[in-house]
Amino acid sequence: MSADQDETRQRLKAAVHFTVGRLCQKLGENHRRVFSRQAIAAIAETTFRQCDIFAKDLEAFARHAKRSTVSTEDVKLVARRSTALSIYIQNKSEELNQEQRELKKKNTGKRKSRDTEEESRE
Amino acid sequence: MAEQDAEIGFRKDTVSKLLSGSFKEEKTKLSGDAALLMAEMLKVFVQEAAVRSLKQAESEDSDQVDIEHFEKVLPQLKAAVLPSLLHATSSKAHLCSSVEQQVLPACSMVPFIKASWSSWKQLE
Repeated sequence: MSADQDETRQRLKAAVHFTVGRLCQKLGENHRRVFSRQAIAAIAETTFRQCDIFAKDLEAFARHAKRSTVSTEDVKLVARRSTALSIYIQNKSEELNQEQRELKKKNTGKRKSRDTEEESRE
Repeated sequence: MAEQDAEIGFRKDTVSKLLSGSFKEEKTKLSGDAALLMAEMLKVFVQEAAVRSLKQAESEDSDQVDIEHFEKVLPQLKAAVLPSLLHATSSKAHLCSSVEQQVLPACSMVPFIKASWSSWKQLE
């Protein structure tokens, strides 16, 4: 691994550590408890390593479907082992789809109104 | 950064880089939606680890959630991926040995979210 790649990894690790820290702090506040720095670091490290496993699974699933791009379907497969998680991820995926559909609608709507404006000017 | 105030989570490009870096084939890519969904997945993973550790700390009447609390919930959190977790934490000898001594269930990802929601209610 080159020094450049190594640095990117370190940065990513730091980003994960940061987010884990904030999530833990927030959850801790709700229960009037603090997470020790070591605990946060351990959770962050575990999450970081877990990413590697997730990535390998996602890649394998995509390959199996003869794709080179990982899609939301592959993510759903990664979540399949726990029913609750699987349902949660499926709902999230639908939410994402819905949002995108709405965005598209908005954009085409705008374009249409602009078209009619131009027409009326003519 | 309105997103930061509203909800804490992983950023899309962070997740994207994180996963892309681990792909074996260079041509494998990650779709935008998949990255967003994985960000959600990772958030759940962290919350699950945190809430389980919190519960463990509470059961031991500890005001601080410490590494040993996380250490105790680690096997049930991710039994299937344990080989790599062992590797991940091998620098912390005590963490490693205590995990090794546990007899592990064969399933993975255990009840995950379910546990966090029900245990939350109990805590509150």
